[in-house]
Amino acid sequence: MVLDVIGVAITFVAVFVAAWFIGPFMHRVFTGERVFLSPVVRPVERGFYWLSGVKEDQEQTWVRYLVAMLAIQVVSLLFSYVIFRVQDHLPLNPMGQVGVPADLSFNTAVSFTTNTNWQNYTGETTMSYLSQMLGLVIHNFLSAATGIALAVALVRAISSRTLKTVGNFYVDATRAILYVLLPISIVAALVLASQGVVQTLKAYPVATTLEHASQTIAVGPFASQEAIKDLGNNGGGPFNANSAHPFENPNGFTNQFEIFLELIIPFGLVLMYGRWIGNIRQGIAVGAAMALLLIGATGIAMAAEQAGNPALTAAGASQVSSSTQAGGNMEGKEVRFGPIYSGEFLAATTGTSTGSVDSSHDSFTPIGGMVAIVQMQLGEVDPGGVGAGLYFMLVFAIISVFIAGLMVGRTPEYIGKKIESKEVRMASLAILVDAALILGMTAISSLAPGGKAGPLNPGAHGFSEILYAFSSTTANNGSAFAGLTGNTLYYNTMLGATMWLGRFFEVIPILALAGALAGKKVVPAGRGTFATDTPLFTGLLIGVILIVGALTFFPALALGPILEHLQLAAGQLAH
Amino acid sequence: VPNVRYMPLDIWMLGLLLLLTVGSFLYVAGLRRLP
Repeated sequence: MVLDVIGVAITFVAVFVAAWFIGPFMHRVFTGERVFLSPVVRPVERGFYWLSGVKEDQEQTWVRYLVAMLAIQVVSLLFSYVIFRVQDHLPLNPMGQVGVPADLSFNTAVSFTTNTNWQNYTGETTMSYLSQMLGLVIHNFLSAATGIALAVALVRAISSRTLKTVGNFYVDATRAILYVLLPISIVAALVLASQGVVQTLKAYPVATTLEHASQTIAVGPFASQEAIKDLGNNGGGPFNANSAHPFENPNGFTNQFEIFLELIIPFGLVLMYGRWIGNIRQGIAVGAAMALLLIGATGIAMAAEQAGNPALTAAGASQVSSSTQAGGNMEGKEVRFGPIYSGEFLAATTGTSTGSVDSSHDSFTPIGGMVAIVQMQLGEVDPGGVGAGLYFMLVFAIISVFIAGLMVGRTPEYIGKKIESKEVRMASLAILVDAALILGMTAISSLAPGGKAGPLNPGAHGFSEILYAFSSTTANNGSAFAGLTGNTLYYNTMLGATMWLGRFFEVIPILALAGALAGKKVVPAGRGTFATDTPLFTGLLIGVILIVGALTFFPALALGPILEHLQLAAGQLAH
Repeated sequence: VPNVRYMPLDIWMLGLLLLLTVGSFLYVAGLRRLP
């Protein structure tokens, strides 16, 4: 167990070191400076602009930036929808998968477009290779690039001294793919393939087992998909078991490598932010809040899972870690990962917007499962999705300086920009959209017949399954308490709509906030300025996030995981 | 035509997508008008 904890610590240190290099690299990329990849990538980039007619130096207002972003999303969503529907008439379908039903195609297309990757289907029995490689992976790159571009637009607005524009969406998204996502994905895919992650276009082989039974083994071109699945915080695996499947995540090293991939861009972006505004300490202050929240969440999840299930202890089963067993709550977990690494994976996948899983979240202890739910409900800010984590954290930073300003009677300002009525309204709106969607959709689904038909379990855990689903889809995470039967017309529709609203109805006020900040003059820091590059601000930021989250979601959590925990401790759990 | 039996559902799903898209653009327009 001690070695596992050391492994977790080494992974986090590796993430912080990598982010320290990736952050400044991304700053150079998005400001158009030359980087070491430029000799190869720059001609390709210019070729894209020439082909698509994009004028590289043409800046967009926040409205035009949003319109460009939304147009790309709708067109690419329809493209994937059609591929899923007619995949049985398209090539690269050696297993003869039939066309995906309409409601499931809609849910899946929205899911991958919004970076959620909620999967109401079983990949190996539903999707052709073409659907996997083109219909899904295109969004793994594009949705991640969209998140990064939106964060870059907000950073540009905060740092802007005079401009009323926030950049060019097409240029930002293209650079995110060509300079950041694609090169790292290629290297990561090779690393994963070297460890045993499968990569082939051949049909599923059939093996004869020791009992002479015939077994079909699902394979596919998946090492390349796995890399961007984690790096882009997408999370949608080609196999139903996701990263618990040995062909997606074969060993302890790949498990930690996948966590590493999930975390490096979100932490890198926050350092890019510090670099961009000319004060790296501003980035470190925000990044420290992310890191402390993540470490806290990881610690709670690992401790809860290692402590195990009190019902099993009461029944006389040993859950103590020893030389012969990992101990703890092993239900739904891979023996090769154990409770510590599974707890870390859960914290990383829900602290970011990844949503891939190396164990069954539904089988975690109530407290372990609650860590996942809470992180998603807080808006995924520790460190959050690629781009989404940074822009949502900056929303909380603006709320924090506003609250600090109210408390001490100072005019709130952030990075030299006065925070006024419009900025606070937009920031509040972004937070309220999240809360309204999670709580509203959970309430409706707890009452509607179609919603009540979903959960596998009765009582508090059944409610948790619904709460988890809408927390996950609103936050564009994609992981699930998989006991919930989601592939129904009701859930395909409701969850699909929630993913769309959770992504775009949150992003739109944030870009409006960027537009409001972009044109503002910078006020020089004076004696009355509240410093936002100090440990005090980091503490305030964490406090605001936790208080806003607790005030909003505690009643719902009390009906789900908290009640389940108390029932379990009292030996009164209903089954 | 693949999955003919699902065609009415296709219309319902694409209608929902249209609704979400139009709603998003109206949302942008609404926030743009805010002072």
